[in-house]
Amino acid sequence: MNGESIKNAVPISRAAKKLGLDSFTLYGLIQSDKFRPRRERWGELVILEIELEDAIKEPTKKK
Amino acid sequence: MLKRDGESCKYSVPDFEGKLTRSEFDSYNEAFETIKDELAAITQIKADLKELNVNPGVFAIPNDQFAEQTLETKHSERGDLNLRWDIRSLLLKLTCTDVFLCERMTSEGKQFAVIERYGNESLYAKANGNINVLLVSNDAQQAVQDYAARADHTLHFMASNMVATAQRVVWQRVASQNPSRVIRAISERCSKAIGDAQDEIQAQILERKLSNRQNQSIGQTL
Repeated sequence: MNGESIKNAVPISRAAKKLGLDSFTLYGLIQSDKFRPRRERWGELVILEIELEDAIKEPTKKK
Repeated sequence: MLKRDGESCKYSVPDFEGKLTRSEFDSYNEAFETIKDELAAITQIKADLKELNVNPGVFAIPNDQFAEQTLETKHSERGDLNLRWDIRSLLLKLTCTDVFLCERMTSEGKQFAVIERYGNESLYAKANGNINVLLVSNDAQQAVQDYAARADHTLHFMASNMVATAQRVVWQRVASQNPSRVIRAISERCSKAIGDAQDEIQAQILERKLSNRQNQSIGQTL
């Protein structure tokens, strides 16, 4: 386990708020592979801010 | 009174048999504050799912409240392959999401789907559409049961991550001490929220099966 936190990433509850979803819904989307969270040093899942930004972009602007 | 690191162990917290010291208690409260909203959500969802588990047939019956209401699912980028579904019943209502059992007629008979609809304010919905098909089945009751099992799995996933979140808060606060008892206390509280409802559901399902069996044997006797 390294001591570094993942930079520019947010916990699931905060990510859900940003997306306008319930946490439960976001956990379901993670289970469906619609999001790819990383695991923090304490085992907590976090989502990269860049992935969140991509998830709320209009389809034509997505990478 | 038992002491740890010179502090008396005298603070009780829900669902944990041991007693915590003042500093453990403070850590517990700080960590719990971080996850309390999600724990409340888990408890509520678990209670709502109980009815789906115990009485899936009730949700397979069309609810007049949703008569004439439809959802449209898109199956191509150009939007030229859309399917229209009639809403049959509401399975779960969350703050920003409704989950419905829907049906549509196909050349091979009725098809059922569990579909979630996100609120219009959701940024995710604005970018990705507000409809998401969770599962499809040719049996309404089976669809309800499959959804309940899937939702239960999601709740366990959510609870285990909540414990990890609490762990992060506790370690950040007391990096120099061993916070294992605090983590255990939080973990047991989260497990209780998931486990209690599960036990109750199993008991009700068993009770229903026994009651059905009794009714069947009474029917045979008559």
